[in-house]
Amino acid sequence: MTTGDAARTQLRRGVLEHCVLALLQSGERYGYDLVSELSGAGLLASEGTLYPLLSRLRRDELVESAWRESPSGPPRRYYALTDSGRAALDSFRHSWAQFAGSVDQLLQKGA
Amino acid sequence: MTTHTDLHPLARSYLDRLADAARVLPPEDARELVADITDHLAQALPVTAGEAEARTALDRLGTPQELVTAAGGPVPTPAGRARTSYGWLALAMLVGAELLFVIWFVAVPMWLAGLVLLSLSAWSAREKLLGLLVLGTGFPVVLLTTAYASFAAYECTGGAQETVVQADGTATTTTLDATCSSLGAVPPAWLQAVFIALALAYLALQAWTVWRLSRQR
Repeated sequence: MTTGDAARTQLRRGVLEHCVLALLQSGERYGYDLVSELSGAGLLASEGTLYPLLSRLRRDELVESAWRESPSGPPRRYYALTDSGRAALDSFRHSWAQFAGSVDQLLQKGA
Repeated sequence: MTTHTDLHPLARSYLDRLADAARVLPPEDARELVADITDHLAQALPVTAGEAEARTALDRLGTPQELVTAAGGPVPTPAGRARTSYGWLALAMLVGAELLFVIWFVAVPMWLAGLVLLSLSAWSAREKLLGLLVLGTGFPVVLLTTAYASFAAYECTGGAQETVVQADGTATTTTLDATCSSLGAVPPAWLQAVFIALALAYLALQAWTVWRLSRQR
């Protein structure tokens, strides 16, 4: 693994949970839909690892889930943000803006 | 929820290995992980998908061990990763013992080593059982079949003599046609055909099992 790959893995690990919350802010979505979008954005190294993360978010009451009929095919588990999830996302959004600003500043200083 | 039978064969095999690896998790977490991945595969991997497409979908999913680690299972140790190579060695030992059965002092240790390595391999419990029933039986089956065939041939070689004492006291001895004891009786042609068909089916099943087990990640 190159240094770049290792850094990307660490960054992904740090932000993935809040990216999931961000994807749910506009409404409920099912697991495979979340996986496809995160994977397409290059935020998931192994697609399957999102499901344990979703389970943890549910245990921490940041999201809730329910099995529901889907327009096509078998029933799917849909995930939605809870009030705590929404609050956690707001808090992260604030931290991220500060964090990204600080890192950008340092990177530009060194360039 | 999706049932197991609606899935691509490679997805079913993956789920077997996942269920096996997930046994280190609390039962509720293991059930949930397998249910989520089952539904993911039902959507990501159509039953009619080609093999290359299926393998790509499974590669993107991650190995069962990675998923179990992400779900809070123990991080795999180098010893755990080495278990994958035990499988290859187990196949080589079991097939080798069957091919070299006449050199019993080589074949017996190979066979025993193959059985031990099979139990230590990273395959799922179902795959280990398949390996045991189809490949683990290879050496004893070949040995017993050969032993029986040699014994039957030996029993058939001798002719029997019959001595009849006539009423006047003279005895005449006649040699009967070569007869076989019940053990050595030559089976009828149809039975021989059945034996050959069974032997060929068994060998084909063995070849399929080697192919199937050697393709698991």
